[in-house]
Amino acid sequence: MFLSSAIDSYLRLDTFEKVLRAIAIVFIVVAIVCICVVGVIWLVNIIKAALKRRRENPKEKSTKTPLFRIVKNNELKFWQKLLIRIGIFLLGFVLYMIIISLITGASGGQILSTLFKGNFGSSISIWSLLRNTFLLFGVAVALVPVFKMRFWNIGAEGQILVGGLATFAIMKYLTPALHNMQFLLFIVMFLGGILAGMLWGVFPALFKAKFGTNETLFTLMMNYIAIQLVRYFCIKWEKIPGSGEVGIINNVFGSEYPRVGWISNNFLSGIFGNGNYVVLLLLVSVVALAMYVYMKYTKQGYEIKVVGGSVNTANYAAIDVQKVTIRTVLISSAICGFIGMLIVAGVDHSLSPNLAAGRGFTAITVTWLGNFNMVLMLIISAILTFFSAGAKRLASDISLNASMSDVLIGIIIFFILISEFFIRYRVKINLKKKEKEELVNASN
Amino acid sequence: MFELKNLSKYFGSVIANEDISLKINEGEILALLGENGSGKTTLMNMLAGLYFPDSGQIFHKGEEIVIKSPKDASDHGIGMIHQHFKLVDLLTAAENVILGLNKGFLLDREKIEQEIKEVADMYGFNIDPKKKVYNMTVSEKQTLEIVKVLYRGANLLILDEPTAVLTPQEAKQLFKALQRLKERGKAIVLITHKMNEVLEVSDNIAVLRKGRLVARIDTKDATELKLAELMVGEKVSLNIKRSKVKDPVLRLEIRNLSVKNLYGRTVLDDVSFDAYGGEILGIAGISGSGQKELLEAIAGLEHAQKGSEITYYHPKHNEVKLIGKSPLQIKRLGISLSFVPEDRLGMGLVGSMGMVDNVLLRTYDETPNFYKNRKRAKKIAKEIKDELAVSTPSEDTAVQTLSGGNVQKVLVGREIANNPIVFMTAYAVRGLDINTSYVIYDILNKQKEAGVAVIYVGEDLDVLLALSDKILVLSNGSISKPLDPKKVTKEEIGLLMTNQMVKES
Repeated sequence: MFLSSAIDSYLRLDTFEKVLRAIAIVFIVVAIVCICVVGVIWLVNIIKAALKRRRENPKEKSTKTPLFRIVKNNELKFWQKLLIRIGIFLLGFVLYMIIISLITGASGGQILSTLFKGNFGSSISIWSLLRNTFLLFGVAVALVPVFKMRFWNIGAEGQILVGGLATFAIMKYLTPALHNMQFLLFIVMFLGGILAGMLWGVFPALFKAKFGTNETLFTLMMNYIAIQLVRYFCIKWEKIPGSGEVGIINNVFGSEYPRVGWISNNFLSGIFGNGNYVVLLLLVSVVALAMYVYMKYTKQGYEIKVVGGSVNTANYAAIDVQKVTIRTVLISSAICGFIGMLIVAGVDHSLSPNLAAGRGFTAITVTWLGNFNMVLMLIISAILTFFSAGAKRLASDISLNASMSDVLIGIIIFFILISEFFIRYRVKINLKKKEKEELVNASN
Repeated sequence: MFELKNLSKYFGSVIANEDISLKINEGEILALLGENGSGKTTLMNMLAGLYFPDSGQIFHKGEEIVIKSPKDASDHGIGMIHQHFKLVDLLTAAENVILGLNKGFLLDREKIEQEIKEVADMYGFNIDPKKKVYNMTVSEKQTLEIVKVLYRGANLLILDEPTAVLTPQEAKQLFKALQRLKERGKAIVLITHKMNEVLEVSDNIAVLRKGRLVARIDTKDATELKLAELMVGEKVSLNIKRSKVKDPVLRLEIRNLSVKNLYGRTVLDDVSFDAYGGEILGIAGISGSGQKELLEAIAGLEHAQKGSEITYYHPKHNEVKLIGKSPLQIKRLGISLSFVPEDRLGMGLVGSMGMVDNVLLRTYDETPNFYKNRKRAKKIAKEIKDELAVSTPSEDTAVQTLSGGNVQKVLVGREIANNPIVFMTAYAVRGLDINTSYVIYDILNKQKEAGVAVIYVGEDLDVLLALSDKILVLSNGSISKPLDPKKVTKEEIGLLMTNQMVKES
């Protein structure tokens, strides 16, 4: 796919550029072929030598020590870890740019500027970067307690969806009654969102606690129910028959109740002004802070860690594991439902099966890569959001296939993972004494 | 036959082995003696190809060899019998023996079974090649492991703590077999920390301490005390004191306790006994005879069958029936039951947490507050650290990074800080060094003198006999009458331990 788009973009260039690019491509291909040929010759030689040794000396056992060995490394200072993280991230970023430039022919500067334009080009794009970062971060925060408890909730996506669905339904049916008491409407929306999320979490939790069912499959399946449910309501409430789209609720134009129930514009608008997402960012920050305190300073947070550490120990210490499991999943799914409410009431003002936009899954990556550290999780949310927004811009400006850019985000995540490996381990290269001496001699 | 020269192995900054040079001769039983964590197993794992040395050389008949994998080790005639058997339960003895040997595409079972039988007969082992491993007893499995390495042509057999899972009688059988192997020119390395075994079977003794070889002596010149001092590096006294029992009070009355496991098999069968405050009640038995279930049933962690009764006599209030109550209910009733379980990190402690958070496990729920209060736990953790000399970088270092002895000190310390009325311990000194073991015996004695009812489940019969005021023997879920440790002998207990099995077969 990306090949065709690359060819497309190539054909659109003028003649001079075409020639230059062609030379560059030929050069790269020749270089790759050379490297391959050298590599193959080298391998063949090694195998030949080994076979020869075998023939001459059939009884000889292998006497070479392993070349690479992985050694544990736990004496790194904070700044060393930071340096490794940043360095390897930059490496991944460079690879990311090289691949894009190979595919599209754009220069590094062009890619960089497009990425930045996509994220910081206008106040709208800056706000959307912040908003998406915090929404993703909020879901990651919701996953912290369940993952600490080793309850693999991969149903955040569904919990967000039903939270959004409940919010939308409340906005749709209660706006006429409550449009004069918006504060009450917000409370009902808030409760509706988190209760719906909890409803989606409580079943897997109950079954896990009572019957020991596998929560991974259960929560995953709940996602599909949620998606189909939202689809159903999208068609039921569709604006134009057959479109399957519900449109913007309480629209600014042509609606009886403009912007009623919209978080960003009406709720606390006197303080923060219209058109930005300060309220949303604040709400997510409050949730994150509360979660930090909950996990670190409360007895319940402590119980979660004990259950996650070892269920046997928890039983032994007279902790009611069933109760803790259900309670924790309820908290987690409530936050997911709350995020769903924020998306519908604060961002989309609409309903679609796509409203969670994969955040429920991406957040799993964020929580693990951030190692349950709120600051790290926020940074990783920002990086992922940055690249996915940048990818959209890359797609429109330098015609990089949108799916390809998703693949390339994988490179970034992969390199973040690699940095964790190098923080925990060191790779030692073994050279036998003789070889070492040879090396010394050779250098002399 | 084999020679190690200046072998070193490090795990991060931890020295596992440093600069060890050792000769292993044919026709010799070499005992590798050392406390837990002294590097015995690491050293032998380098011979067996599981670890690769950081530096140093290995010679076989004068030629340098490199062992990168268990296969290399096997090619050089080295076979290791691990403490935890490496057998596939669902396969037969013969299938386990040839596993991984790559002898062509087709299997000639008849021929292989015949060959295995021949090997076994040659060294006087009794083995049925067609028997499935899951049908074997522990000692049969061990025999199979030995035959396996012999079939693969091993000239050096390394046995890692082979008697840990055997009864005294089975251990005797094993030692006889080792003598036969020795007479046929095999070299044998016996990894162990039990000194009486070493003195009984070995020809030479190599003592390791903190990763270094401190001595290689002839068994004829060795005494138990001398070996202990070499292992510990300082003078030790090997006497366990037993103070006189003063006015025992009934604390725990167990009647007709029966427990079935998950698969419906009876693991405790109609067990009845009493535990008195001011006494140490020793419980002997082959591991897996129901010890775990017994203690867990008392702690409320195991579901007991109908008709079982456990009565706890509270010093101030009335008696309480414990059957059917959850640990939480037992705790809420104000019952001071301390329990040092067998699985220290899997049940007694949370490995990823530090000392303070682990102490908190017992105290965090004392107040009705929403927030936890670490102050008291911090104080207790500090006291445990100072009094029991726990060596840890800080009270917040994850306990799973500590050595086994320190982990046990944390656990025992916490349970004692709980001011128990009944104090149960399962294999309290398993894997601990001599000094720590004596610290634990000392603690148990102090608890006993303070009027606590101590239940000590143990495996070392010498210790059980020296420490307990009464001994019960569990065998296959049934319990014996209380025995007087001053009158009963080790052999008699050994017989009681296997009693049930004899009856069954």
